[in-house]
Amino acid sequence: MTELPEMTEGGEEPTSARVILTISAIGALAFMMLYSVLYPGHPFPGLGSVLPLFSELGDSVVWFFLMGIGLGVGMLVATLLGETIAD
Amino acid sequence: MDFKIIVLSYIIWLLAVRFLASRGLGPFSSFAKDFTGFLLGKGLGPANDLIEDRPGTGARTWYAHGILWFILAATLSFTSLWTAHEPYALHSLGAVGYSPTTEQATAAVHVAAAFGALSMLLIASGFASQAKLCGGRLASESNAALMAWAWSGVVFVGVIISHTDMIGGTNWFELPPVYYILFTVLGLPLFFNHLLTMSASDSPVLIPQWFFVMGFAALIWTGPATMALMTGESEILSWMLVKVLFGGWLLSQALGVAHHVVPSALGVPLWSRSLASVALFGTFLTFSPLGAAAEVGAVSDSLQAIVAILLTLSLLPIIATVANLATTAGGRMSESYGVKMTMLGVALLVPIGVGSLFTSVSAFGGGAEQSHIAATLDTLAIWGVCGAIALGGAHILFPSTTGRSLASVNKSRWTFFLLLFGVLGFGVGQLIADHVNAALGAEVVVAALEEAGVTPPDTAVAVQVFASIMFYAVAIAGVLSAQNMLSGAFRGTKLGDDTPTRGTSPRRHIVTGATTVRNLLSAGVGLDTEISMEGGSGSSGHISLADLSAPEADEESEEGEEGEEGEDDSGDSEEDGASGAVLEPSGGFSKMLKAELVSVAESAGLDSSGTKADIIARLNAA
Repeated sequence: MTELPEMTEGGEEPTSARVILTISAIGALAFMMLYSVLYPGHPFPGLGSVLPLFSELGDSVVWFFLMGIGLGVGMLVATLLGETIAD
Repeated sequence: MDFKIIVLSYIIWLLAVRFLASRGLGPFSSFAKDFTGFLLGKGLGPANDLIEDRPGTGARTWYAHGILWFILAATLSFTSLWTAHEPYALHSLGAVGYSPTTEQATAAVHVAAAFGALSMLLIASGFASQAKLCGGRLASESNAALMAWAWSGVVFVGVIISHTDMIGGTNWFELPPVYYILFTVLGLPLFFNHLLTMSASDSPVLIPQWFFVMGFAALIWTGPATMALMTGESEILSWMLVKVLFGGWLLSQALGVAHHVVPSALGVPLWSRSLASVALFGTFLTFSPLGAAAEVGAVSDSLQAIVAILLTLSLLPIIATVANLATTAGGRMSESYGVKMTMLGVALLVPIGVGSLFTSVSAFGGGAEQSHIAATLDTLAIWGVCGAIALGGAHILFPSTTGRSLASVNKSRWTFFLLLFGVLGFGVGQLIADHVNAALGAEVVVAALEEAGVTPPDTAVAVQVFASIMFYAVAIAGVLSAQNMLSGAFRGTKLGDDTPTRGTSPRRHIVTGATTVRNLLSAGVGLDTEISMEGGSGSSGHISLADLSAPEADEESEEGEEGEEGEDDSGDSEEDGASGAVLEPSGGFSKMLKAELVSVAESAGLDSSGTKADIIARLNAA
């Protein structure tokens, strides 16, 4: 009778996208923790403070969120154009 | 306008539509069909030739517009929520002329969300569902597609008007009444398209189809009712229009989609026809609790009591729907993310419906004590209930309009979780903020705090920030859905050669040997298909699916096999054993543990000794 191993190791790995997403989330969390420790009581810098190009947008964090939606819509348009041309 | 006349006109109109749609117009039916078909096909003249009249075109166009409006409306909602706690966040946009007031931003959100995102996605799913149930195509696909462009244009105009001084102060119907009549005008050809499609099919009309048709009837009723509103401001009529918009239109379309996609995607029959009927009639014959922000001033006690009873009765169709669909889905919900999204919306109906009920009752002639949470409840009804069902329906039905599957299951998973956490996080956070703001804003509390010289902490603002960020997930869910649908339309796996839609179920289906209900359903068998057992078993004719094991048992007994156990499973294993074949699992034998392989080998009568490789080799050879 062959003895069964106590445990076995698989060869699967998580997808790169998931790894990058997790690291990004932890990185963002780390940044927020660090910022709140270094500058207690100060609001987070807005897009205009980080990138001088967008300085006219003001210091609101909402622009980071809107930029995310803008990127998503941009990817949609790019996909549409790419697929149409490929067709 | 008198409340009784308003309600009676609505009920009589709906009953008339129900009666005429089921009985027809007698000797005029044929003429009416031909004439309506002509109008749908040729009424728009050369414009109709701009779009091909191919199966799936209509629903696909509605989906394309609807999902784009979903992203835009969710973004507008997000910015409205954000500016509620940071009023000058978007101040810089004033440089390009965009500086809406709170009322203007809210009006834009209402138009874009209710008429743009949800109406268009739900109409798309309604058309896709109708086509699948009626032989694969609409009566006029090109007309449906053209109407999508027109509808989208009207919504766009509405969003523009929302940013002007033309908006009024009425809850929910902020735009000039004449604007809403346009939706009735556009709804007419869509309504007739549904009716013509149903009349061209021999299949019996099912509950989802009635939801779609009656929902359009309700939408069409809002046109004349709104014209009455133009003759003079009527608080009760405005209130009624909001209830019809939420219950008669949005909720009915959402429930129609849910009643179709859950059983259809899971391959199981809808659990209860009676509960579905309760949901159908209850949705239209009661006042929906959704649309809680609509208020009516002082009314008589008797009227207040009647409305309170009709509002409370609206919980019946809600509970019937939840019970019916939850039982239908059972433990198989995990098989489809589209079903999960749909069931999320259905499940949220209960808490949001109950919350909206109390708010609506107090808002109709009462003191509107719950008015501070009304806007949040309406937002949850829009995005949590109708939005989730609309996205779920799109995930399940959109592939049938393109003939290709969605691009990525991973994106569907992300969409579901973003929607789930976005809606729940927003709901919890915003309701907390609403209650804190209402408590701290009470006159007595403000006076007491001023007297004591105490400044309350801005805890509510922090919670509002959390709620806004959570709602952002809903907007991203829309973006992911759009990407999934767009990529799927180009590169998704082809569903089959006879795509984009499956035809009606065959009239007759022949079964040889053992089979399962799943196999029958995947072969396209419908409830009314006549199932015949090959081999003269004597069971030919119309039999129930549950009796399918009997012929197999008969065959075995005819072959002289003794020790019949009469169970499907044992019958199958005997057959396998006799032939010596061992069925390989989907993952292959190599994925199985050795103990499992030993068990399989022993059950197949093979030698189970040796290494895994030895056993697998014997099983493969068997």
